[in-house]
Amino acid sequence: MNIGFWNVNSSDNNKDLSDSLVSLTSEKQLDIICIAEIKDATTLSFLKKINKSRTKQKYIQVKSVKNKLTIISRYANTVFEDKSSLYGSNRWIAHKISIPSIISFNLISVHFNSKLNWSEASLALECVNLSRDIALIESDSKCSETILIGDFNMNPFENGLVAANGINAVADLNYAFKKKSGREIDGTKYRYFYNPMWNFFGDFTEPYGTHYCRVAGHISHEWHIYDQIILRPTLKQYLDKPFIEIVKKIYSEDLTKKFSRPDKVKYSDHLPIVLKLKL
Amino acid sequence: MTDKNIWTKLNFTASKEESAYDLLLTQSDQLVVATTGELKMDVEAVDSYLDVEPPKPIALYILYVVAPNLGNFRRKILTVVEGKEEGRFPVDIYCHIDDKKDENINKSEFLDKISEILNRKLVSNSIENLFQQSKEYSKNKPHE
Repeated sequence: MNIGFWNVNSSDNNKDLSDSLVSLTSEKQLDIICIAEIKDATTLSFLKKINKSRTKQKYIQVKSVKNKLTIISRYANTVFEDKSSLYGSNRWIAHKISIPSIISFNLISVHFNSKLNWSEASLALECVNLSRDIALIESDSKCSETILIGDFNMNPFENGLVAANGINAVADLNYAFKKKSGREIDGTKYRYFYNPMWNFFGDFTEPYGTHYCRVAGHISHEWHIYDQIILRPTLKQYLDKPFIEIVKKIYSEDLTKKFSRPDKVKYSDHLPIVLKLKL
Repeated sequence: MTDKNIWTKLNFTASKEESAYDLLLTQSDQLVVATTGELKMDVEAVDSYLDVEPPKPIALYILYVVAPNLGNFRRKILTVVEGKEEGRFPVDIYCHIDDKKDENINKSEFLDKISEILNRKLVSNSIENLFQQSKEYSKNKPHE
C-alpha cells in the first residue's frame, strides 16, 4: 500500500498542478494521496485526468466532514471510516482504514498553521491537542495503530513532535517497538510514535529536506523537514526499507531547481513524500 | 524533383509488435473466471527511467491482483521492466513476493516464465491467501 502527501501550495495562486499530481500518483503507484493547499478546481481536474484512461478502479475523493485537506484514493469509500466528527480542529482529518483480514489503522492527515502566523510555542502546544485527539480516535476506532502524514510546519526535532505529551515521536524504531508502554513521566505513561524522517537530515542523499526557507537574522535552518510521516511502532511488520521517500523527480519533471531546492515557481515550495507499506 | 525516397526503409504496416503488457492483458479474464470474480488482475503501465548517467528510459508493467470485495485492495505481484531503447523484448521480471529477478526473458518464453513465477510456493500462497480472505469476508460481510 502506497500513501502519499503533497502540499501543492496553490491556494493563493493560479497554479494547476493536476498534471503533476497525475504523474506522481501513477509513477509512485499511490493508493491514497493526501493533498494540502489545493483548490477544488484542481482536485476536479486531477480526478478527471487520472480516471480518463482508467478502465480499472477509478480514483475517488474520500468523504470527510472536514475539508482542510483533500484525500484521493483508489480504494472504495467503504474502506474509509471518517473519524473527524470526534474532535474540533479542522487542521487534521482522521479516518479509520480497514481492509478486512489485511490491515486496519487510523490515517490522520495534518496541516498545521504556518510559522508565519503561529509561534513555535503555539505550534508545540497544538501538538498536545493533536495528541489528545489521537487518543480519542484510537479509543473510538478500537485500533491503536495510527499513521500521521502531512505538513507539520515543524521539524522532527522541535518540541511539539518530541514532547512526551505532544506527539512523542522518536527516531529509534526498535526501542519504540520494544518499549510498548512508552515513556513514563511523573507517573503518566505516553506511548511512542516512530519518526523515520530523522533519516533525511544532511547532504548525504538528495533532497536535503522537504522545504527550503531562509529567514532573516543569524539563525536560519535553511532546509526543513516539515512534511512528515510518523507512525506507531507496532506497524513495524509492514515496513521494508526504504519505506519512505521524499520525491524530487516525477518522471523527467524535476521538482527542484538550483541547489536541489524546491522549485516553488513551477511546482510547490514543498516536496511530496511517500510511505510504502508491505502488505 | 528527385527519385530518392527517404521513407522506404521505415515500416508503416498497421501491425504493432506485441509488448509484455499486451501479453499480460490476454491473461486477465482467466483469473476472474478461476476465482468467480473474487480476484481480478490489473496491469499498470508506468513510464520511468533507470537512475544511471545518462538516465535510461524504461517502461514498467506492474501486475497486481485486486480483491474487489476488500475495497479494491491490491497486492503487487511482479514488475516487468522493458528497456525502451532495446525494443519490446527481452525484458526483466522482478517478483515482489519472493524478491527474485529473472533477466533477459524473450517473447517466446515470457508467459511461461510468468506462469512459473506465479506457481512458486511463496507467490501462489500469497495469491491463494488473498482469495481465501476475500471469500471469507464476502461470506461474513454484514448486510448494507
